[in-house]
Parts: sequence; structure tokens; C-alpha cells
Amino acid sequence: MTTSTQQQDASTTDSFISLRDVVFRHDTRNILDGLNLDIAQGSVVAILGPSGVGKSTILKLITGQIRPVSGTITVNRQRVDQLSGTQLNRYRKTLGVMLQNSALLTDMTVFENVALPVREHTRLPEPVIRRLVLSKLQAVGLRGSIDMLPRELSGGMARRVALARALVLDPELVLYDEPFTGLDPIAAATVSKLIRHVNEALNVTSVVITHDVDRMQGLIDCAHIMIGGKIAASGTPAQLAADETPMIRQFMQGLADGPVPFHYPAPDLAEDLLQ
Amino acid sequence: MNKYEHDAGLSLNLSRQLADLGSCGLFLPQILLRIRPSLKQLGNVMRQLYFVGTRSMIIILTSGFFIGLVIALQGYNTLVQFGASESLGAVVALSLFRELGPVLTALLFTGRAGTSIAAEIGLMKATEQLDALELMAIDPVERIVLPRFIAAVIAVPLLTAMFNLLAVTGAYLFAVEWVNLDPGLFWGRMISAVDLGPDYLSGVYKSVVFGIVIALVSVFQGYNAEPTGRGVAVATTQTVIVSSILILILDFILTALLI
Repeated sequence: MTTSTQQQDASTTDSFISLRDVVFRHDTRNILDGLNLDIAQGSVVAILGPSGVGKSTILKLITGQIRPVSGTITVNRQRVDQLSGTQLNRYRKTLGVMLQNSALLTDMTVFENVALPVREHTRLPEPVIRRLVLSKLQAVGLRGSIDMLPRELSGGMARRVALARALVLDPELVLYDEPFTGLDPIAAATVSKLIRHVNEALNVTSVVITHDVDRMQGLIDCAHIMIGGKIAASGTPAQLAADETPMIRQFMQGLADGPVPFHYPAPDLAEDLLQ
Repeated sequence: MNKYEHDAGLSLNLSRQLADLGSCGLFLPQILLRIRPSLKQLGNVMRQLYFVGTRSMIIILTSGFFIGLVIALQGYNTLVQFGASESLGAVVALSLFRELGPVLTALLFTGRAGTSIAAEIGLMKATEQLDALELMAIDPVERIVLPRFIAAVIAVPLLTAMFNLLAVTGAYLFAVEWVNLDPGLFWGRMISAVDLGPDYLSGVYKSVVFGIVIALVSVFQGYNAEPTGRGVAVATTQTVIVSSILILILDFILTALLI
């Protein structure tokens, strides 16, 4: 089902997330250049691409941290790019976001970190909060770490606590920013398994921003590869692996040189050395 | 001048410094508008009061005691030449309450707590903790900046009072135990020379203003730090530079107004 960008433009009224003709610019450089993307409800979707291609920009657009220069961003029939401050806060309560650095508050214990959104946004009594937090930590296998501080956790444990915190208010959409970066194979496999498990158990929509092609098998329903500020290809991991387009093949096979050049643009080496 | 010197705040780019100062001033109403009478906020402020206030006590009290000793030593050596050594208590108290107490406490507090606030908030920004709060629909200014700001504003006048207390104690020990001045004369001259309004309260007013300045500069520098290791270092350095200069300028202005 490998599709071109043209097929992305097809109207998808049942999409949970829909980005249409999105342009985002940083200084004078176009990071996203007329990007179209649709993500169905309840699916696990990966946005793949080389570093610096604008994957995290998509996450920031979906969470409303930044606004596009032009184009529309719709999540669950809400125009995220048009939300006011109060509406944005209401919308964000329906999101769970796991950031690349885990971003646990360093002066709080694991329990306090996971309990934070509940304490801030609900008036639940403390015993109920405790039960809720413990159940989320149990789901990620870290109920025994409630009194630990973030600095005492390994990278994989910190990601799992961040996942528990992202899920504590039962979100409709969970976004993962580079969830496998810096993790050893066991920790990465654990996080990968948890992402799939969470998606099936809670019926949430999951978006995984990553450059880790190897982790995609068995985790995602569909992947979109970003190159040059647009979606260059979409499909299952197997379909993308079989894609013969040079750029897609270079990315999927991890080739150092190809349409995406190894060298950053520079003057001729001989000229540079003789200067 | 290279980029590093410029970023480290060693530049004399006046327009940039003034623009930063203006942005810093505009940050104040953003903080104050988030004050709410809630137990949750009170709890956060109390926790920060411990970190910025209680934990600054050792340096403030130790410095106060030794500065009291030094002022008494210097003052005595001068006064004794004019046969006015019995006025030592008055000289010590006036110089402490009016000037040295508020100014030195503010400068010490900047070095101990202001830098810590700026570095902590800057590091939270660099490690995406502020982003994470925003994404959980929790306002980082209300949750992180406001408690630290209020705690610093409360801590500075209290620490100034403690500084003065220890400095007077140091001066008393020097005067009575070392150079054998009469304790009654020491206290009597002090009490008769110090007027509550122009002398003691002017120092209190100054310490409140200094507290606001240090708190505002620290949280502003941290919150607007470039989210990198060097950005945090620059924010910390700028906190010391900007706070110290503002404290000294404002001290002159306030003295001129209150004298």
C-alpha cells in the first residue's frame, strides 16, 4: 500500500489527525513544505525520517506548541492551529506526550511525577490518586519504584515512568518523541512492547516520531517517511522496505550516501585547502 | 570581542541590555497575574522558601557575623583616635541598618540563591521539563516561576534582618570582649542613635526592593535561557551581573529618596 504524496491529499473525513498543506518556516528555511498527513483513530503510526527533517515539528504542531505559517491541523475534529489559550489547555488534557528526554520533574519522586497531572486537573481524593498512579505504574512494571527520584532511574525506566505519566489521565491520543533514542536493546524492546500494549488496551491513537527503522516491525500499523518537508512515502514496514525509490531505499537500508548526500554543501575541498 | 564573550554578558551592547531589562520588567506582571489564594500555591511557595531561604542562612549568618566584627574593628580604630570609641555601637548599627545589611545580604543572596534559581529553571528548560508541563496543560510560569519568585521576595528581607542581628552580635563581642567597652554604653549609644523610620525601616524597604529585583532577574534569566548547557551558564552569569548592578544603582536611588 505504498502511496505517493498525491494520495495523501485524498479527503479523509474519518481521520483522527489531519494535516493539510502545512507550511512551517524557521527563519527563512522551510521545515515543512505543504505537508499532508492523515492518521486514523486507534492506529499506531510512525513518522520516520532522517534527523533534522522536521519530525518533531509535526509533534509540536499537533500539540499546539507552534502554529503553521499556512495550512490546517485538525485533531478529533478540532482545529488545533486556531485554539485559544484556554481551549488549548482543554485540548492538551486529552493528550499524552512522552518526550525524548522523558522530562520528569527532577525534584519529584516517581509517584509525584505520575500524580502531577491528576493533582493539577482533578479534585480526586488522595487515596483514589494513589490507586490510579499505582495502577499506571503497575502497567509499565515500575510500581516498586514509587519513592525513587528521576536521577536514580535508568534511561529505560525513566521512559516508562514518562509513559505512565502520559497515560494517567486516560488520553485519546499519545505522542511519542523518539522513544527509543539512547536505550539499550532490552529497554527499547520493553518500551516498544508497552506502546503497542497501551494502544490495544486503551484504544488510543498513537503517533511515534522516530528515526529507528528497526523497531517498527510488530509495533506500528503504518509508517510515513518524511523527506524534504513532505511525506515521501507511506505504508507498512514491509511495504516500505520493498520500496525501490532511491531516497526511501537509502533511508530504510541506512545507506550513508545517496539522494540524501553524506556531505553538507561545501566548496570544493582542494580550493578550501589551498585558501 | 568573540561570540563567547558577548554571550557571557561581558559585552557592553547597551541596546541589547536595555531590551533585556525591558523584557524582564514585562515578565513581572505575567508572574503577578498568576497569584491565587490557593493552598497548592502556598505549599509550593513554602517548599521554595526552604530551598532559597533556609538553605541560604549559613552563608548569610556567617558573613553577617564576620562583617560585624570587621566594621567594629575598623570603626574602633578610627573612633579611638578622636576619643569617641563609646560611639562604636551607633556607628555599627547605622552603617549596617541603612546600607551594609540590605546591600550585602542582597549580593550574597544573588550569589547563593539567585544563581541557583536561574540555573534550575534553565536546566528544566534544557531538559524539556517546562515543555512537559505545558503539554500536561500545567502553566510553567504558575507552577515553576511564581513559587520561586515569591519565596525569594519573602526571603531577602528576613535574611537581611538575620544578617543585621549577627553583625551586631559580632560587633558587640568585639567591643565588649576584645576592647573592653562598656556594654551599657555600646547598647545605649546604639539605641539613642538609631531611629526606627529613617534608619531601620529604610533598610527594610531597600531589602524588599532588592528581593523583588533578584527574584525577577533570576526567574527571567532562567526562563529565557537558551536550552543548552552553555545557555544555562550564561543565564547564571547574567543573573549575578544584572542583579548586582541593579542592586547598587537602586541602592543609590533609594538612599537619595529615603534619606
